[in-house]
Amino acid sequence: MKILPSVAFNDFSGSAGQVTARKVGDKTYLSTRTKHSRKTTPSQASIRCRFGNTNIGYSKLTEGQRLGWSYLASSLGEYATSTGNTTITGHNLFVSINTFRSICGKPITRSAPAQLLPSRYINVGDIWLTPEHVIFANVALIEGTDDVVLFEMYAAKSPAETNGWDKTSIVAVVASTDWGEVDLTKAYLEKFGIPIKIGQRIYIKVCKLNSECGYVKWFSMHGYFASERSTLHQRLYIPRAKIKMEMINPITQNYECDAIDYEISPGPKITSNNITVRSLQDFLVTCDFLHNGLTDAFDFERSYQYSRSPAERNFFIQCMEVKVYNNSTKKISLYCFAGVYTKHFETFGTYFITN
Amino acid sequence: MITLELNNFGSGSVIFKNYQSPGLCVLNGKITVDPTNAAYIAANRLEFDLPAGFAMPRSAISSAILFSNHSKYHYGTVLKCWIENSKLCIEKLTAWDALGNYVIYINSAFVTRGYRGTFTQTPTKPLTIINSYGIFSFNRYCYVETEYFVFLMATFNDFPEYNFIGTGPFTLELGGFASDVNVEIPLIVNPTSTTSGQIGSMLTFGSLANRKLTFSYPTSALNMGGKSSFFNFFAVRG
Repeated sequence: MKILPSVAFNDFSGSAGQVTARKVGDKTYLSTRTKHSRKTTPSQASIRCRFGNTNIGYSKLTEGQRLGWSYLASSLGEYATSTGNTTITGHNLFVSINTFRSICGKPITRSAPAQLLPSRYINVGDIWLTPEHVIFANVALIEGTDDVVLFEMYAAKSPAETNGWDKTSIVAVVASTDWGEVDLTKAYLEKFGIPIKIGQRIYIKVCKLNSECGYVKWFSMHGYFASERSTLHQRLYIPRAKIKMEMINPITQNYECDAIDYEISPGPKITSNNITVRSLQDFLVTCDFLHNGLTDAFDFERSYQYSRSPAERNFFIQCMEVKVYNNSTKKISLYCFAGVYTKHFETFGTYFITN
Repeated sequence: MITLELNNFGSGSVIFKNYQSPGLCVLNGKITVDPTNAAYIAANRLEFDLPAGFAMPRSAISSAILFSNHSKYHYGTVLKCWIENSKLCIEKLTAWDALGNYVIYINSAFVTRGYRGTFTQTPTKPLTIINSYGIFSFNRYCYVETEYFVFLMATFNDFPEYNFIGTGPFTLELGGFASDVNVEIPLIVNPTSTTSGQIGSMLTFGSLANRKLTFSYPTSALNMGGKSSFFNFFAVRG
């Protein structure tokens, strides 16, 4: 993994997202692409629009504000690039910072910040790069702060293409992870329109960015060939053992599942889950919902859990049996067999799974 | 044992029996909550700082039991409980605040998520009721015993009922249960029906030591107990 200055501050022929940098003399200028990409994915259109809006925003700054940006830019001084030292103008700095702020969902900041917090190198663990999965594991992001993670990627068009570092495009900016994981499969497909091919050379840039500041400077670079096995530990992709809302049929004739978040952890086998159900029946029934959430590695998983009725039904406690069938029939089945039955209940917690 | 001191709701320090590993932790303890405390009133949820070096800074959802100060039935419910940013967090429900200081029982496991790998089956062990005397018999139970902690869920076909045999005390002696578990647990002792205006389920508590669970009912605790009773807990050994 390497750490390099951001392409946005390099001299000639560099680009990050839709921002292109070119060097004139000892200064670097930023501009939009002179050629329109023929691809008009929503992601590209969005970033193009943001950059355009940011450029227009600079023209509306007061003279004092422009001087602030110029002063801040000059304070960055010179820094080394592959072709010599370069500097950045106040205009470039305003556009660059506000473009990334906009990508992070922040409004344009007209006044130059008192202090710049440059982007940083971030630890990433295993990465799966397959046609079906673009997944980063162990992404070291502390949530609940201003930090986000910026992912740029590029897939080489041919084996002869050996340097794609200047061609990476922003795939996603994420403010949170799913237990350290970031799944960019959909975002990648939306960005580039075609999935990764096995054997394709993939260029990845990733950094931890302060979303309030928006100053992209340092990031780590990862270059891998797409493979069925992960980049670090050479593991075949195994999905997490979980069932989410998008994996079930939540509405049946007799009941509705309002929410389900079910996952199995080792210990040897423990479930943590939160499931909310409404029954349309007044009598005790088993609630069944079809699912497609687990692999064939699972067969029949049962846990006995606490459950409670909601406030409007007086918080009664129930003992709920939660069974996950994963054989000829794939369904999750809930049955209240002790406590006060109510038509609306929520079961949650961490419990051993036994057969 | 760990002692939790810093909290956001004005509680005193609490001692927890604990088992810690990076992927699974078990906590046993009892928290007393003063709902008149200004810090409690201001809090959106209840938080205890976990000690430095606690093995798990973040967990998935777990559960706790709110045991209210109702003079007879200690009506209560299940609370959401989890670890976040190295804090033990507990859902705040105010339905029983008017009754005064209440207790939160935590006899729970906490796990992390994100595992991608193979699993092994959870081994269970059989239990017997040594002293049923016709007042105890299992409907279902699930007992898991590890080197460091146990898990037991039990529902009953026969369980002491105040209306027929009074306040007790009652002792349930479990053959096959680990002899080094010493824990206080809440028991859900509500019949399938409820009384008008009842909020929460009837609760009592039991002391489990040396394979014996001992509990009693308050005087005049009509309808308490019976075959709809159950409990569910993790407990650290030793």
